[in-house]
This record gives sequence, C-alpha cells and structure tokens, in this order.
Amino acid sequence: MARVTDEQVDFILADFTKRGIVLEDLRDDLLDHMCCIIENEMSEDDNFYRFYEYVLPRFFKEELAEIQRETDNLLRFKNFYSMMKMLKLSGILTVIFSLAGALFKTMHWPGAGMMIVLGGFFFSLVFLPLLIALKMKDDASKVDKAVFALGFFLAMVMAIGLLFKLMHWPGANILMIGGTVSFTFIYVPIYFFSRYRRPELKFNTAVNTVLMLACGGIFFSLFNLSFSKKYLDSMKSQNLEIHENSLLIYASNERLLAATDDSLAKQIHLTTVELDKELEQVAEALVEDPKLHHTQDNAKEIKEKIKTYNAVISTIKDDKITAVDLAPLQVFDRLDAELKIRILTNIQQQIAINENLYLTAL
Amino acid sequence: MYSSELIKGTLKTIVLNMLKEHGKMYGYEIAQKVKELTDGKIQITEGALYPTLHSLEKNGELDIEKQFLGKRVRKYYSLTEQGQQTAAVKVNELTDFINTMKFLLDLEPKISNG
Repeated sequence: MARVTDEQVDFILADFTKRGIVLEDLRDDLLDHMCCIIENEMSEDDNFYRFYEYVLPRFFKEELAEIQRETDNLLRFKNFYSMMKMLKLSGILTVIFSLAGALFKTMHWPGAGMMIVLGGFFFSLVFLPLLIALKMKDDASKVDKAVFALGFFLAMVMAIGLLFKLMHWPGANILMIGGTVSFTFIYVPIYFFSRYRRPELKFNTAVNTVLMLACGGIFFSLFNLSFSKKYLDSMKSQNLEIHENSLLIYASNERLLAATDDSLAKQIHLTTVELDKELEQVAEALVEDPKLHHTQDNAKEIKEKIKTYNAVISTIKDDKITAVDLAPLQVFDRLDAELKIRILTNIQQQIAINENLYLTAL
Repeated sequence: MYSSELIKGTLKTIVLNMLKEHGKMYGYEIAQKVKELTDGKIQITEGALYPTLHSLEKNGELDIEKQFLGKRVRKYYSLTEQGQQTAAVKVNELTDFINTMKFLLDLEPKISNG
C-alpha cells in the first residue's frame, strides 16, 4: 500500500485551492478522501502524479469547483438568493435614482426631489440593511462581521442624514455629523486595527483606511462649514439697506396719503402699518438675539396678518400690486437669523411699494 | 450503476442510515461501504457526498470528530440526537415511497375484487 507523503499532501492541497476549493472544512474532507483513494487503490509501482490526474476527474463533471458551489448552495440560508436579487435591484435603483436626481436638480427640472428621496431610500433603507444581513451570514469571523456591520450601519446613518439635509427635514445635522464623526474616529480605527496584522489584508486595509479617513475628513469639514463671516456681514448690510429703503418709501407714502381722502387708501395704509409693526418687532428681536429660537409663533402671527393684508390688496385691480407670498414663512423657524430678517425686510419692502403704487396711481 | 439522478434524492437517507448502522465514519469510508454493500450498484460521488455531509452538519444532524494524520485531517461523522430521529423519519419515508412506487409502476399489483 502506497503512503501519501507530506509533500504530496501539500501538492494536493495547493491544487485543490487552485481549482477553487476555498472552504477549509471541505478541502480537508476532499484531501483525506483523495489520500484514501491513493493509498487504497494505487499500485506500488504507479506514479503518484499520474495516478492523481487519473483519479481527480471522478470528483466532478466539469470542474472541481462544482463541489464548492454545491456545498455553498446547501449551506446558504433559504432566502439567500432572493436577498441577493433584492440587493442587486436596490443597488441599481439607487444608482439610477441618485444620478437622475442629481441631473434633474442641477438642471432645475421637476421631480428631482422625488428621485433623490427614492435614491436615498433604496440606498440607506434597502441596500445597506440587506448588505448587513448578508454579511452577518457570511463565513467571515465574528469580529469581521461586527466591524463590517458597524461600518454599513454608520454609512446608513450618514446617507439618511444627507437625504434629510437635501430635503430640509429636521434632524439632518445630528444624523450627518454624528454619523461622520463616529465613522471617521471610531469605525476607521477599529477597521484598521482589526485587520492590519493579517498579511493578506495588510495592503488593502492600509489603502482603504486612508481613503475612508480622507472621505470622512472631507465630509466632516464640509458639514462644519457654516457660511462665512464675510457672507454674514454682507447679508446684514443688505438687510439694513432694504430696511432703510422701505422706511423712505413709507415716508413718501405718508406724504401722498395726506394729500388724498380715498377710503381704500386709508384701509390699505392701516393694514400695511399693522403688518409692518409685526415684522419690525420680530426683526428687532432677531437682531438683538440672533440665536432666538421658537419663532414659529411669530411666523404664524405674521402669516395671519399677511392673509388679512392680501385680502385687502386683492380688491385692487393693478398688475403691479402683488399679494405677499406665504411660502418663505413655511420654513421660517428652521432658517438662520439673517435669512429670517431678510424674509421680513423683503415683505416690508414689498408692502411699502404696493402702497406707494396705489397712492401714486390715484 | 444507477444514474446520479436516482441517487440524488435518496443520498441524505443513505448517509444518515449508514451512520446509524455503523456509528462514526469518514467520507471515503461511507462511499466505500455503500459501494461494497450494493456490489457497486450505488456509487456515491465525491461531488454529491461532501456537500450533503456539510449541509447535514450545518443543520445539526451530524457531529464531527477530527483526527490528525500527519499533515492531513480526517473527519469522522456521527449522528447527533437529532440526526438519529431524522434518520428514522427519512428511512420510513423512503420505505413508504418505494412501496408507493412499486404500486404505481404496477410491479406488485394489489389484490383486487375482480
């Protein structure tokens, strides 16, 4: 009976690996099986390599990797294939929707918001969770699985945050910044230290770590770029200018009003003054304390006044006199102080001009 | 030798029953034993045997005992408690199936009133 030597064992192992048997347990089984065949069936004077080549085709129909695939198929859980299909589908949909959304957004075509939301939805709530679920069922070690799952989870948080930011939904900042900080400063180090000691992963780990740190760093600094001091100052001075212009128009309106006894003019003046007082009050409060929160009550009050104002204005037949748009006030509470003041001063200016237009047309 | 199509559906039952009858066995041993018992009529191919063994093990039907032989490892498979039950169920099922097939293919006509 021939005895399989250690070199021959190494040879068989290497050949099995080369032929696609990567599952270690399976490789051990097949190796022992092959050795048994050789030891039991090979005649003393036969050549090991020739006999090996002769026996091997018994193991498969077309190639040895069949056994590995068949084992994989049997070991996978039930929903594996449908999950893979979903993964592919949601991946493709994510790419299509986000690319189309980006294009539509830059071109200002309708439907951009919808596409971006769908793209973000498929990515963060279908694609990434599926990826986590599939990764958890993988053959990788528990640590690897946990590390990857954490990474995908943080990616999910960041993607959802980005989506919220794009859609101006509340909570975006905390999601984005929280996700990015934990990704860059917690996940990346964990990823690096859990992998760099393994020689086969070392290079890829180093490259990926650098890439992820760079991306995380860029994201982090981008999120922290609120608009610059220069921009803020120019906003302020513009707001002031608009306000002063409005005051001049008001002064002119007072003079014109004194010269007429049109009853509608008086009514317009009254509602204008009423609304202006409210606007002035809120604007002053904001100038005094730019961090003033909870301005939604003010916005509601202003909206009511605008509705009364618009009702009066609508009786005038003049194309140049326009009703005040309520839309900017819908998001009022979420805006920055200077932007809030800009909205208020714009309305102030508009109603001043409206009154002026009416008075000068008399 | 029977076609692999025929063997495929019964392989799990064969493997479980072999282990039930003979205690712990390794892969090559199972294949050889089956071949020997059936006069070479049933030859389990490596491509079918090992995927089946691995899936049975994953489902908790089999236990593994490793024996190191120099550089290689021999894995002895044996039935777990659950495996014992499954083996019994599978054998009963197959017996029933064989009887049904006999009847269906008219090899053993039942006594009728005619």
